[in-house]
Amino acid sequence: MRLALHIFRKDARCLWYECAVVLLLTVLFTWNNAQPPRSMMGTFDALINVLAPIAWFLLVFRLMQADPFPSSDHDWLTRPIPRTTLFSAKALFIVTFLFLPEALACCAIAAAQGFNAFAYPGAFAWHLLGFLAIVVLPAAAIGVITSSITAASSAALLLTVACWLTLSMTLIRWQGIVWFPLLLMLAGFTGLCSLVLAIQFRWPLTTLARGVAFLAVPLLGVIVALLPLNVGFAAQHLFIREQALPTLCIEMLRHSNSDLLFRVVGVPQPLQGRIQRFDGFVRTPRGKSPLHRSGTSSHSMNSIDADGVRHTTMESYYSYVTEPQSVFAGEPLIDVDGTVWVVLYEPLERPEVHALSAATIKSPLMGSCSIDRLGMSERWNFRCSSPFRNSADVCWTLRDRRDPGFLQQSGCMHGYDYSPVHAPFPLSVAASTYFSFSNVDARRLEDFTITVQALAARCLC
Amino acid sequence: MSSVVVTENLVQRFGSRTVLDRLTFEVPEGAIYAFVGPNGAGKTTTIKTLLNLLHPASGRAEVLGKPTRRLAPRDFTDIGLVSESARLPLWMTVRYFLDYLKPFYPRWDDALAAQLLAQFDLPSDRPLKHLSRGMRMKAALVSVLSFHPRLLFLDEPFSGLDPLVRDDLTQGLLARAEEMTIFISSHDLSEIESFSSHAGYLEEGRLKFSEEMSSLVNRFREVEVTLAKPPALPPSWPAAWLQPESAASVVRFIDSAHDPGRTEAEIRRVFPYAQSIDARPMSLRAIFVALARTARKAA
Repeated sequence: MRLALHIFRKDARCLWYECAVVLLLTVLFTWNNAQPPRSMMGTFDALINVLAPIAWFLLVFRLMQADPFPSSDHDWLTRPIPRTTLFSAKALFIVTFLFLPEALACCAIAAAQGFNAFAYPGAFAWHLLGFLAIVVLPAAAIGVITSSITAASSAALLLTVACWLTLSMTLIRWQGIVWFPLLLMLAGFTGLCSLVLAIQFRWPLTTLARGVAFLAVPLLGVIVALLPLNVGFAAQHLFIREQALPTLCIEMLRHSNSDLLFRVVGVPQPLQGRIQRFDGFVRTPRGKSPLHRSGTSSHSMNSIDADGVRHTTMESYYSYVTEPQSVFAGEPLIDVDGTVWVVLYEPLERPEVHALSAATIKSPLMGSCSIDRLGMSERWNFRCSSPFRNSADVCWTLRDRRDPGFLQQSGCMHGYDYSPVHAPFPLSVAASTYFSFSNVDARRLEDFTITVQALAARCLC
Repeated sequence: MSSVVVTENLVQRFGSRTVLDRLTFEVPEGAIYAFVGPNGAGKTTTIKTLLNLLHPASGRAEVLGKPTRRLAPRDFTDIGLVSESARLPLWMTVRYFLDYLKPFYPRWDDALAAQLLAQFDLPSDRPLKHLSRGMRMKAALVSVLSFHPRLLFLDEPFSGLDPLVRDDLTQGLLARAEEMTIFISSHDLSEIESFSSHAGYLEEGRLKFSEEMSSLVNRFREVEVTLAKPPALPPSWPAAWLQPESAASVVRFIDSAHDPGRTEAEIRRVFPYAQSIDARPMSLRAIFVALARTARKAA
């Protein structure tokens, strides 16, 4: 430990300038994200949000390249510096100058938005693990297999493009359970980066480490791309609370010559539901044809059964022919085969009622919220910075103060994903919840109350 | 006397190119081993392989009784390297460089470091990047001598340095040569032949010889034979006689396997009209040049 501290002090002395820049950018990043949410992202926001991650990466590159492995000329290679000690020193440096400031920044942003980070340990840990998996480990892995900032930056750019291509090709297929391939890729990525670091700090074998780094990333993408969807759904099922699952009934109606109407009946309130996707096909006398969502949104209807239990019925439209539509129009359907995936939402806390005003609203549920007008129109944005929450699983209702029984407008924002952890994607600390409403009568904002209800996606079943 | 460096059929390849070809030699403990050869012969590659900075393609190499592939960082408490191509942490001052290294060496000698700094006239508060090349070499030498290595590798330590700095380095080195084995590579032989006890000659990755200096100097002779009539060089020329030249009634060559009695008999067999034979000892530099020229001619 004494030697690790000795190397740590050497690195801190060598990289004090870079550390100062990173700390300054982290402070600016924190200050910027602690502000009330704004509709438009300014140049400063964009600059800080881009510069801070770049500075993090460069600092880790410089740290690793202070004692470079891909070399046979550097003096330190023939010095009795134990590799485990060197690793400890680098880890200590990263914790001190990256991890700790990031955790503090996270807490400060959360506190500024009215949240206590420690009240959300899962989300807080998820955020820090994300920081480790997306910034620290890749930057460290690249740093130990390159010997210059130019080479490291080029490698990082190449890796980013490869990951972006892989993700963009993969995620559409996994709609609804995107968290699963993301988690797989993050886990795989973390494993690969750790392997690269282990190879270099243990032996080192730069050629092997480079091979692992640059061949394994596309390989990981291919594996995730080819993984059957059922594996993801099975993983999602692991998080279902079996005892609370309602029995749902699915009805299917022929809505028009080319549309099918799926209706899911019997979602007990206060649960809400949504038909996420249908994977299957219809059979007509001409053969099988895959189904595609027609683009219309889902509807919900409330009903009360004989026992007085309130239920919600959800509907989704699917079209079932593609080409040429006229040939199939009016053809008899033989049968429909497939799987309907339904998402159930559970209200998280009691709904909150706030009087609208032009000032920032502090909400224990939603964080720091502000209202701003969209140009000269009568459309208004209600925007909240909600750290440690899935940003979009929220329902809202707008009522007139003088006539609370009359519902002015309402809506729900649902996320694209049903991750079991209620946390925004790592690195985006202050995820923004945002919805807009129209004030067609041009009344004063103070005449309205808004009720917000946060939801948690409980299962995809 | 045990050997601190042993190689046996050591092969090093860069891609399809063989850089070291079946190197076999030993460096006895306490020796000052001059590893000589022209530029590009593979001297630096050999040192890097011996220090486990490069991994050999095949063959055996041991340093201080340990296979080089198994050399761990802790083994470098006994091994030092001063290389012209070494990349020092240039942002450090000389003093900080030594202070940084000190905790890693159990036998670090502060008094010796201070003495060497004074002897080499090194400005301890100046960053290494602001030092001349010669001063950096001195700083590097201080950083290795201060921990009393058992084995010291010097890779072209005098290359491009002015004579004063060379003298300083040589004196600093020789003052402590008794306590260690020195393996010194150079293509500039005049500096090292005076104090080397052993020599190895590497050419295009092949080791031409590796032996004690005294044996080497005894083995090589510049021979001048005066004949009674102008010579005709015989078709069967002994392989050990290098670079034959003839002018008027004199034949000159370099005998690489000199043995006074046997060489004279051989000369008299080849040149029956020999009147006088003069065999002069050669400097290491002259031997090196002769071997290099012979190799170039053969190529």
